[in-house]
Amino acid sequence: MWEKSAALTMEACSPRQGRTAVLAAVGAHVPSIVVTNDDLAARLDTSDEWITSRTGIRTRHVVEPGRSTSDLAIAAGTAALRAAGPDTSIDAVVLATSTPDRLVPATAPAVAAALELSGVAAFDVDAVCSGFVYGLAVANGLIAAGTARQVLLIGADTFSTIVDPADRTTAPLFGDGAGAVVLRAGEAAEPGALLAVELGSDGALAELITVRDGWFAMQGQAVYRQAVTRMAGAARDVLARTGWRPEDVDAFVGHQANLRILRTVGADLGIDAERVHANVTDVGNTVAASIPLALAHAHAAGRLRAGDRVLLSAFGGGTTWGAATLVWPELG
Amino acid sequence: MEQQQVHELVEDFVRRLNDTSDTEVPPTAQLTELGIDSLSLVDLLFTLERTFEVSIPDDALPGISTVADLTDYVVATSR
Repeated sequence: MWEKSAALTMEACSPRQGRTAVLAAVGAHVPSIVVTNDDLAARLDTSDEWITSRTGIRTRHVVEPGRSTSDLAIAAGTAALRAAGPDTSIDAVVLATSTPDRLVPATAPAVAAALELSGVAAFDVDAVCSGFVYGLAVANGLIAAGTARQVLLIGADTFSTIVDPADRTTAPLFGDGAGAVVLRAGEAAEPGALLAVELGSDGALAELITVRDGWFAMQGQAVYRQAVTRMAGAARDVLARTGWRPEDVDAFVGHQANLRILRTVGADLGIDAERVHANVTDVGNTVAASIPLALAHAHAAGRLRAGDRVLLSAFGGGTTWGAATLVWPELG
Repeated sequence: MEQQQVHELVEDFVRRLNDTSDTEVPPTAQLTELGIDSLSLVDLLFTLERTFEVSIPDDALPGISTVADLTDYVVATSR
């Protein structure tokens, strides 16, 4: 009783104390089936050269028959929890996805249960390719409000289940996968703290990226233009709020839609190609999984080092966009 | 600005795109026959918009199929 009131008093004195989301671990999972450009060229009117020159994508992973988004989310979540260590005590699971296992209920509770986290808050967030950045803002909010102390945020999608395999304009672009992060309550000044997040949407452009007649449909040219404009705009806004200039950024980890968008956004911001991180060549566009998967792969490859100033930016169906900044922490 | 400045930028873009230094870029040429596909066109629009501080909205695109269509549009909207 006494301890509880002491804690309340302390919070009343400094309500922001220890209430910023801090990155504590990353994890990733891609399914075992790999589809190469030559595999696609064998059944579609396309070629490795055509796909590579326009998208930079060479391979993508596709979910195994009988598995779904939750299976990928569970695998990535397991990896992140293992990396976070045995003292981790998650009290909320947020799953960013647009390809949930079912329309109702949300997929996150099943993921939480499979991770032996039954009882904790669990829900889905859908902002398509911006889902992970939206999820970061949601997790940060849960922590800032004191609702949660440790959040498992997962981005997972299986667009192979909604992309028409006979459509040569969309089939090469997407891959299935999942990426996860553990965010814990901490101080704004410590490495890994989420420094700023920017979010936005324009529903008037809902038709640009949608599902029509049962299959995924996208207006490529307009999407390309919007993606570059919005990703660069959100990045500029979040940099201004963070107090960074483009030249301060050590790593730009943008939504991995295709290599061309990433490089154009980088060029627009004045961030040279060496600081633009890309794993889209190997995994394609994995939608909500894209940024956490890119972070996990860059971390595993040693390309993100403690102290690096990291800029995230995404654009997706909705349309939606978002950007975030953090200093990369020391991770196991 | 002058039509010539805009044309030179388009010419330079087409030559870089095709990795050549002597591709002819006549004003009457269709953008598609110069190797400008739908995504390259967006790259070109970004470059034009940035360089000449103009806006070329999506709904203007159906009226733009040749080099002259594009340069005319940029010159007209910049005035």
